[in-house]
Amino acid sequence: MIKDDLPSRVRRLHVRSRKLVESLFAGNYHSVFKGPGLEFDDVRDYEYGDDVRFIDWNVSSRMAAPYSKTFKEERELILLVLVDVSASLSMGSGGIDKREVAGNLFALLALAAVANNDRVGSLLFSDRVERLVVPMKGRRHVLRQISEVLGYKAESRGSDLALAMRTAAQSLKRKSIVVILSDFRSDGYQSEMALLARKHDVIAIRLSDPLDKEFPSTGLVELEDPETGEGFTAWGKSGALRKEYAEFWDDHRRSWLNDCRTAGADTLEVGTDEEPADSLQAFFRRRRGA
Amino acid sequence: MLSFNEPGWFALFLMFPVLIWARFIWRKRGGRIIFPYRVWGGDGFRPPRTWLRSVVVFTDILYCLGSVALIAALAGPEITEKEEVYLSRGIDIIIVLDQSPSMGAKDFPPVNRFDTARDMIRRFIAGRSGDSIGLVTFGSDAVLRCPPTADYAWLSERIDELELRDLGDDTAIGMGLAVATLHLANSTAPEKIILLLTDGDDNAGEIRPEMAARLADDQKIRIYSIGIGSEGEVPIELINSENGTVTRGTIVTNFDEDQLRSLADVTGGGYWRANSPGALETVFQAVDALESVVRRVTVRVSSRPVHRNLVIIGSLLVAVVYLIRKLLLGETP
Repeated sequence: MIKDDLPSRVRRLHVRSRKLVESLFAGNYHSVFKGPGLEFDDVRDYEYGDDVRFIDWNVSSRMAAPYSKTFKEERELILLVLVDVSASLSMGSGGIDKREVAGNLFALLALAAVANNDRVGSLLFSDRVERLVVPMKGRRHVLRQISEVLGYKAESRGSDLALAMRTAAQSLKRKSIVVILSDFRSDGYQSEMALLARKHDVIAIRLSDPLDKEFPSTGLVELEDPETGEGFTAWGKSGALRKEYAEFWDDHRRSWLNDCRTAGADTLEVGTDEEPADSLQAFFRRRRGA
Repeated sequence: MLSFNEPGWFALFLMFPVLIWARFIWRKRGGRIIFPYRVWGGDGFRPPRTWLRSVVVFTDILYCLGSVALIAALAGPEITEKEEVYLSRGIDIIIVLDQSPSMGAKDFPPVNRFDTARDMIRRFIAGRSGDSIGLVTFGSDAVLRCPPTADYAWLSERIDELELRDLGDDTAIGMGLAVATLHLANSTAPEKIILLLTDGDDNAGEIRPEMAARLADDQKIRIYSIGIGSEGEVPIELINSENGTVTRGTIVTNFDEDQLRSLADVTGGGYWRANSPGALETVFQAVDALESVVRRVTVRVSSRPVHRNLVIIGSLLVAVVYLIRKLLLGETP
């Protein structure tokens, strides 16, 4: 697949995502992520049929006519997306790598948030915090972030999830929605995730690939881990290797699910061979039903 | 001797460390497939230990050996043989050795006079080069054991074969000299020498030593005579080679010093008396030093290339490595 230049990719993604958001996600997003409650808005004349419980007795007695309080839902949520930009995400078996899937998901979520007048921020991390964009409103703000998620060149190769979560917890004052887009190939983030999930609505989205489940049937190849630079020589036709590989990543996935459940974070898995919008919609449906 | 036609190609070995570094140590050389399998800060997938590792190492070593063989072949190895060719003729020497029983006297340790004499002769031969040396022994009669030859190995074998008393119990010095003279007569060598080793009086044979010396002188042969033996009674031990009986006794040997000296004087040679192994050695050294002629020698160098096997081995090794890795294991790239 020929990779276009970044601006056109962002534009295309934006167009496609906006359509999806307008037709599907804006409402879904709105109903799934509720604000903390109702907030007093104004008083108006009481009309027949209004709930008597909402009559504002102070104003009514002062004005000698019944007045009713009106409320509006406290909205203006904050969406902070933690995007893993470590080297391990530049892998994908079918032309699309995990980083691109992350960009797709980010665009959908961010545009849905913008449509609901929420604030969107992003935190790009590797083994350090690469970039922190403070949550703000506005479509332009979001577009810039989409282009960054897609095209940011990370300065470091590793992935330190714990650090990213700690930073997010420190920078978010109000209860927010925290979405984590990562392959979760990082260790020691469990307690940080629990801390973060105590205050915020945390959704862990694990980006996966068919190659994570099964070692490709290759001949003799030399492999190199992009994060650590370690290498090993593998023979993909070796049964022992394939078996151990599959078992290891199956274990890894299960322990991730377990960690998220313990921490109280919601989980979603999106593979590079899946359509991010479908996965996201399935997730919204499940969450609404729950 | 192994030498190389174009050793410049060995400079390729200097590239080996660089290539090995690039192949096995350099991380960023590329050619490796990016494949995340580790977990940051954690353990990650550990590839299981299989026989694959050893196969890979084995083929790597084979590949190195193959390249070494090919580089060596490139350097044009050849085996050169240097052969000394004598352009001038050396001198002819015939050693006339007394084989009479008295040579079994044990005053020349470690064994007896005869063995010591043989030892000295062998050493003398080893010190010569380019000369033809022959051997005549005598007892009651004289026999040519070995005509003058440059094949010293063959001569040594003849010396080893000698046994005391197999030519009878007498001492026919004259016959010995005559046989030697006979075989030197036709020689075209610039110098002809008879080296006479004896420990007794001439007491047999049709030809008297004086007569033989005159004959030798006629043929321009010089006689160096060496009298072996100490004076007085000496123990003797003779072993009969046929039935193995050992005869022991004492013997008084005398050699006619004047006669031996006159033999040497007549022919313009020299006379020495050796009453101990050390003295005998000195005598031989003296003869060795006296009889040396300036030789013209060239070295013929012949060489034959031996790269063929190296090419075969090297290509075979590299081919085997490719067979294993590319075909059997399906290595990419």
